[in-house]
Amino acid sequence: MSIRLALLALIFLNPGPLQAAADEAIAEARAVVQDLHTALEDMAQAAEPAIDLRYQELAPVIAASHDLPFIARFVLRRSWNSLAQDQQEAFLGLLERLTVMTYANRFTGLKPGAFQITGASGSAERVQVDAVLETETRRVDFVYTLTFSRDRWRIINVLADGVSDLALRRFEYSRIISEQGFDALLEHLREQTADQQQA
Amino acid sequence: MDGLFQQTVKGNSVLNPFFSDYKVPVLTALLLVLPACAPLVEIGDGRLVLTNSAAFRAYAEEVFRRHNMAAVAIIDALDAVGDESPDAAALEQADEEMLQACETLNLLAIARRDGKKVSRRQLRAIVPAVPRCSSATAHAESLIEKVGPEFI
Repeated sequence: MSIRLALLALIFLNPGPLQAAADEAIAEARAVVQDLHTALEDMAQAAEPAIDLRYQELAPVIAASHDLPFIARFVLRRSWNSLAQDQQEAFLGLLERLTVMTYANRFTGLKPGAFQITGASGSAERVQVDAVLETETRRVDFVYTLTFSRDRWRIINVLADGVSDLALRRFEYSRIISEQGFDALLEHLREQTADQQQA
Repeated sequence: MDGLFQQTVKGNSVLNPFFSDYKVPVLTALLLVLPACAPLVEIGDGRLVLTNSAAFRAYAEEVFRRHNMAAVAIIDALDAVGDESPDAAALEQADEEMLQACETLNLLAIARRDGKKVSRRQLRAIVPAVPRCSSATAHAESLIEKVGPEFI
């Protein structure tokens, strides 16, 4: 029996270490989502009317819980490598601002416990965390996908009721770049952020 | 009709930071305003239905959601196989074709996300676009599944 086969046999006969790694990953990823939910509920409870202050409160939470550089590369996949570094940084900065501003705008009026994590599964490489948000009028199912990046688990995609806005943005942004150019995309992000700020 | 559309959009406040509220199906609300004098169209199970029917709206919604999932899965599959893989070129081409075929559906979904008005012309364009998107998505799904069933 080759060493490789022996190792495979060992893994199948004793999945303990792999399972333990997966369990640890799931627990850590779950904690990241829980921290995000807690921050959103706290922000809603604080009832801070000024969106800029809510933005400041949430910015470090979003930066820690989301892999925004990954998300930026993902949505601009076709163009990313052809962009200069300063263009990539400009896009990433605006995407981060839009993301935080959108969180700050959308999550108001939540009660403590409005978010509930309903399950988590995955491997040592990728974890899915299921959650539900219940308000007085509606229920939204969330599925977070997290990978390990830059020393911690981070969110790379969010499904809301089975739809990924990341996929939509990939289409939207690549279309703007191909039809109007990269500068137009940056302007589009600025406009979207301003819309969120004023909404 | 515009009033109905406006009411539908404004009646659904947005909760998801990434970035929209899809609790009400993404396209169905918009397709409620398809003209009543609509022609018949074949949907996924081979039935012929009116384009202003609930069956067509459900079909369009289902196709959009399948495409939306495939658009994420195909990038995962591409990352997994690497640029040099013989599968990469086929996946890239399928991705490009799917994005083109599903353009109308994506534009309507973006309009709904952003609370923008949709013209009747845009709405009518969805009738031929749905089967086109469905076909391109099915092709992409088959390639993704070939790379790894875990991606789809």
